[in-house]
Amino acid sequence: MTATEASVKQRRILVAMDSNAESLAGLRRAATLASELRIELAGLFLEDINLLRMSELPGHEIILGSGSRKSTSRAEMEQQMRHRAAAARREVERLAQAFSLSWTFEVRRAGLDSALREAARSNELVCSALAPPPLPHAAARPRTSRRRAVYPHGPVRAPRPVLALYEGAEGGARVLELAQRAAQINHLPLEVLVPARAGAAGQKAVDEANRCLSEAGEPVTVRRLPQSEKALLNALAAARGQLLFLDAASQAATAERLASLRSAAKCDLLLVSRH
Amino acid sequence: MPIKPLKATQIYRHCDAKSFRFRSTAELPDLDGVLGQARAVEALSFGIGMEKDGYNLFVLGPRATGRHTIARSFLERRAEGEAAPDDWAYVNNFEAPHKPRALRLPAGRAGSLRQDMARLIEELLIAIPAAFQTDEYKTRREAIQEEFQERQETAFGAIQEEARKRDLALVRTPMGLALAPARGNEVMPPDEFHKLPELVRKKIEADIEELQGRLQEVAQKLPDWERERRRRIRELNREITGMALAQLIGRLRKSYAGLNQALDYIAAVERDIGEHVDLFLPPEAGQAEVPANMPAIAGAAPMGQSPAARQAAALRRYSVNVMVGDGNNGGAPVITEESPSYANLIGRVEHQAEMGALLTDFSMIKPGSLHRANGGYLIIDALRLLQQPYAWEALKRVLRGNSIRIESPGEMLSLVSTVSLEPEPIPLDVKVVLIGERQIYYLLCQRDPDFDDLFKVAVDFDENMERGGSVSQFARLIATMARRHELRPLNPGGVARVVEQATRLAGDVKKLSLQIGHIADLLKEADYWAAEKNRTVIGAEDVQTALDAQVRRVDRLSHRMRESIVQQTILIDTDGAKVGQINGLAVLDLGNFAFGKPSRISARVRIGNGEVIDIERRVDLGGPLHSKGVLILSGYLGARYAADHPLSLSASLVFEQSYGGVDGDSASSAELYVLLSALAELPINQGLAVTGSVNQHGEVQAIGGVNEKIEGFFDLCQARGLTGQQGVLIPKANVPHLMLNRGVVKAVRAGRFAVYAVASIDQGMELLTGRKAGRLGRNGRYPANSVNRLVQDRIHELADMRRRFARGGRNDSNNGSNNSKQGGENGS
Repeated sequence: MTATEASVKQRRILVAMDSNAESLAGLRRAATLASELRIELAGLFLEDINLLRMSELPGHEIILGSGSRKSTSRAEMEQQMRHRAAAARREVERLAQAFSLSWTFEVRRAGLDSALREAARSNELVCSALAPPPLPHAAARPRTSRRRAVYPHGPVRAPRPVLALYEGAEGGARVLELAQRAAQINHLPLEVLVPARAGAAGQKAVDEANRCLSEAGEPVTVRRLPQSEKALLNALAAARGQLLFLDAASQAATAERLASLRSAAKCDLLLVSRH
Repeated sequence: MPIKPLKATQIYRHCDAKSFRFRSTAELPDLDGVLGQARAVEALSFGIGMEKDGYNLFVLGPRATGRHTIARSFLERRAEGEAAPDDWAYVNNFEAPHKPRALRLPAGRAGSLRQDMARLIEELLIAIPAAFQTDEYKTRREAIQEEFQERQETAFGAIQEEARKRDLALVRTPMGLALAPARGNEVMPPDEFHKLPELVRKKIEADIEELQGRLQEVAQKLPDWERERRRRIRELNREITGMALAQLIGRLRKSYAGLNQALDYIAAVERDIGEHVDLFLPPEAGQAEVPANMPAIAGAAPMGQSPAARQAAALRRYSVNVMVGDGNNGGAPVITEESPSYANLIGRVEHQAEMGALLTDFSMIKPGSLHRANGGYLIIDALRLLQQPYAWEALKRVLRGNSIRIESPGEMLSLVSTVSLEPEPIPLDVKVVLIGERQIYYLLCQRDPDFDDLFKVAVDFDENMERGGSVSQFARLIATMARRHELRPLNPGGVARVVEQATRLAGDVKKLSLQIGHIADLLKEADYWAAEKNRTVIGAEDVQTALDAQVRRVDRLSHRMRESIVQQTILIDTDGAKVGQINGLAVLDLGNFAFGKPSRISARVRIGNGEVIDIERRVDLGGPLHSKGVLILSGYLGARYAADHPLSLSASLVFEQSYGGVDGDSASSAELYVLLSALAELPINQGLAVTGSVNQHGEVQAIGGVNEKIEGFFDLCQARGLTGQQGVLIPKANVPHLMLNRGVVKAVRAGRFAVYAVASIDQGMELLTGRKAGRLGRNGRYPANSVNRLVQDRIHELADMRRRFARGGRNDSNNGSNNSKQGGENGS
């Protein structure tokens, strides 16, 4: 399959959102990509089943920043979710009109990562604009408060890169192609992570990845990683990427691993289908 | 002895060109000092030299007397020798930005401080980012970030681990975190939970409660940790910034050593830069974190400004707004405020519209003329000042307080309560010179109690000077003006003609007008006509051409009026004789041109109770002075002709075809003549016109505008053809004011027109009727057939009629009215 053929098949980007305010920022990034790829924008608002259950169980919500307790009933939680879903729908519509894209919107009640995994089966490109799971830390708190900070991340810092996880030629070529385009659109560097064994086999994987990348565009770094879960998660955390592209059909894309990856990378995930 | 007409030499005072000992004014030196204004000059010198509070000046006098020029030249001469005042600038008050600080600096230093600050900021925009790019900074910063991140992760990690051990899930909620019983990686369904044995449920609830408490403790610490993290980052940044700043600020401090206010400000700038170092970092770096600002989605840059523009706007906080100091070339300032509005005087705070709101800061404070004149002199036109709302009050407030406080009229009147700037007041040391008409000065003296305290020096400019002995000085003044306005020089004839015109303007043959504005205009126009004739020197002919052209440009109205009279639309006789009808003379003043207008005045008499009816007054067309003149007539008639019995007439006086109102008493003699004519039934020579006021003793008194009045009647007579019998009666007291135009002088010289100077009503009546007035005899009667006798008889006759009427006689007032022979006969 050539890159051009793959591009024709990518007809739709599904953006998975939840109640977190940061979802809308992820939606905007995805819309930019959809505009560049000229594919449909599909919004999927996930009503997190865990949150709904939690609201019917003992315990309180602890508000970060103040430490105060807040009890939320199921009805309240559902109402909140409906409001957020309506806001997400309006934003999908606005962005689709702004970029002249066709669009759909759906609300589904499910567990986040399982729903993400499921969506990846039926969509060409899935963007997770979901909030990273706990542990929370400074970077995970609401962005509005961080923006007010005098130096949220230091006065001088390099732009956050686009990350791509290359796990073999079968789905990897498409992942790298899209990641490189996203980097070009947003004028960000691209960092390709290649988990591979040591030795010649590992070098071969790196060479394959390099061959998939075009010469032009933003700076690209290809990093070979030890083939362990821990090494991958550490590398993702250290890279501080803005987007993470990965193969939707790879071993890494199980529901459980998706949660770990989201937690470590703390950025939007883009699951690329092999169709 | 009959009154003789005035000679041509009496109606025009020539200036003899031969008396000048120069061939052209180019030979004359400039005039030293000020001509004919000794009083004003003395007052000016005193007022300028007096340095106590309240000794501001009010220059009063008519326009075109050179008040502005003379006052300004005096002030400039004085200011040249004075030290240049200090500069003033407004700078940001970093502690209270709404109260900008005023900086006082030696002359010329405010501008250099502004440049130095701009250069400092420019250099810091390079030095600070460079300092933050160093590996040392990055490493130290990363260490702080990691320390706090680890602190949080450790705290929350311990709770999460503990939760996992107790089969609880830590769930992220829209606002924070929550704990719930877990089943695998998910939260346990509520129905499942409720099916659990009570003891298990209680245990779970207790675990949740306990961990929630710990979670709460950690969450409560987060703001403190964040504050601490920021503080340490800020300290680090300040340290790095300080290193970048040290050398540059040190250089600045050295430049302003000894200037405490400047040094305080530099120290404040140094502190503030340490607090706001982010302003100096490349704008892109600060935005990398903001996803909504990613290029393809853009549109998020507020107000449509580029990041660089926003940075430049933010850095304006370090700019220096120089209020006074730019372009000071030494010496004290002499400022003339042409438009003395409130804001132009005391300055203003401008605003900038941004997203529907009006924003301002210290850099938008604009100086007023008081700022620019501080340490020197400010010249203001009094009338313009008083016409501007609140400007006079503001000026008084500033002079009383000796400081300039900038506030809008809205704030001053407490009409606006929004937050605005309160710039620190600037101490004021200024001498204000108001220039205005005398009327304004006296009004202010009378009506404004503050005026005397604040403007103690009156500089009174005279409009005229004595002609005798001053003509040669006046010639030098003409020479000076010609040079100043780059005009051709004048030959002696030209100068003589200008002197004559100055006398005409003065309205007195013994005086010269000091309305040098008018003289200057005449010289400029004469220069134009000389140029038209390709002459290198201005001569009398050019001056005369200029004068004629001046009149021609503005005499449309007088021409039309004369035309109406000639066409008999307006009825004025200029020959023959009529009873109860006389030609009066009025002056129409159009501001830049005045001309005489003949008016027919008529009188009718009948039996009555001694009242002279002023018809103009009855219909509100007569002014109070005119009415006063008419009332004097009653007094005169009663005292002279009816001292021993009631004045039993009723007379009516009217200005025929007058529709625009009459005022002044200059027609009162004409009214008396016509009244006497009506009483004595003596016809009045219509070839004569009359002007002059009269008192109760029958003395004719001086009036104004005598030249214009004579010329007005002359022009009419000339238009109809001079008969040699025509002329004007003027008060004798007005003879010194005669400077008639060439046409009149020529006609008088030829005996074709006459000007008679009369001192009394009797003299006037003799001229108008050709009959002796008659002197009162010892028997209380005037000589038979004299004017006065006829009047006396008629008054007695009317008194008899009235007496009979009062006794029940059949004569009613209607039959006895209006010079009726029948009435007269009945009374005889």
